[in-house]
Amino acid sequence: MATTEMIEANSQVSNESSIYRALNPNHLDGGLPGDNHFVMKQNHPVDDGVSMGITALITLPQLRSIEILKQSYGDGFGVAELSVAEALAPVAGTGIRIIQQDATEWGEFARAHAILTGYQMLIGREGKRKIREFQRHIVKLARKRFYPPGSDSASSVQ
Amino acid sequence: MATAELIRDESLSTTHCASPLVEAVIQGSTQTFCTPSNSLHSPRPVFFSPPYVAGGQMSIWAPLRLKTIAGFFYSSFFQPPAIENILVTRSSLQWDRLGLDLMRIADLKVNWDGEGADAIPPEAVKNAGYLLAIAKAVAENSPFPIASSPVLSPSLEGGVGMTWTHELREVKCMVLSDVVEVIRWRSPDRFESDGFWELPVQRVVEHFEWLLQR
Repeated sequence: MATTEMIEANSQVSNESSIYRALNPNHLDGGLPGDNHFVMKQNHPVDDGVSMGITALITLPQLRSIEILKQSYGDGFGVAELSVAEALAPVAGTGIRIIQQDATEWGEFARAHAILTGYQMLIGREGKRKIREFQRHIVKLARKRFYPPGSDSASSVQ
Repeated sequence: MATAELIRDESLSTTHCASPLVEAVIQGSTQTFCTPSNSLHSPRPVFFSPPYVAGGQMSIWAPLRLKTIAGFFYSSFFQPPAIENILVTRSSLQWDRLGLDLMRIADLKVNWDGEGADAIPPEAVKNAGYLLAIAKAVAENSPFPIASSPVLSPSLEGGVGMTWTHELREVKCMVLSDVVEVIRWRSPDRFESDGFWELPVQRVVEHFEWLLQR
């Protein structure tokens, strides 16, 4: 029991954490993070989710050096940075959460990988509504602090 | 042939011109604008699909021709009229661009995002065309001399996303093959929406009217 609790505790990204979201350039919306960067569907597998990087475990240049991301998004791809607390505040109690989940394809940074998940538990029309509300919220947050392609300086759109 | 006759029709007059044509955006396509003589109506966009498209008229261009965008024609021989004979206004251009955005979306192939995304289903594009026509009609009848216009984007969810904001209000539509998901907010600062609806495309009009009401 204690072991299970410890694993669960370790798998949870804390509220004080920040996370990165690598941005597919084909999904930029007027040069900004958009809805397609945060697609959450009710029928996604429950152990799947939106891929993210834990800022305490990986730096921006390190994230941009991950081969699989470079191959998909090109050199110096855009990145959004979000506060976990801000991201999850309006969906507390819904089951939406951000958890650490190893990604072997991230190589030496496998442990720095996290996923935004739990939205699969929201069912029916009301669930869809909540997911859309959350998607809009998180896209707005992503636009508040993002690194445009090729830039190490954060931009912000309020 | 009908296309050429239309352009040569003497009832079509023009005063100003503007560019650009859109070959760079939609490979092989051509766009122009025509206004009937003595008419107060906005210039009508006229689109010409590429002459040689895989699948011909049954290709992705077909749904757009089926009354989803006014003035969409197929032509393999059309020569654009002289540029001084083309009338364009800013407001019309705004909406015409959306038609072009929709064509670009319709033209996306499998893996358009480099991560295996599906092409956008033709039925969803067709519905989005209807929705654009509805949106334009609502905007033209709104009390605002210059209403905003929506933004279209292809969605990984297998449809066309449409976001339309006006003053503080916002309507988002996910146009799918069989239904339109609509959600709306009365303020950009609110997390909670006013509601979520799954509607046939014809019934979205009330939400556009809500957006543009005083």
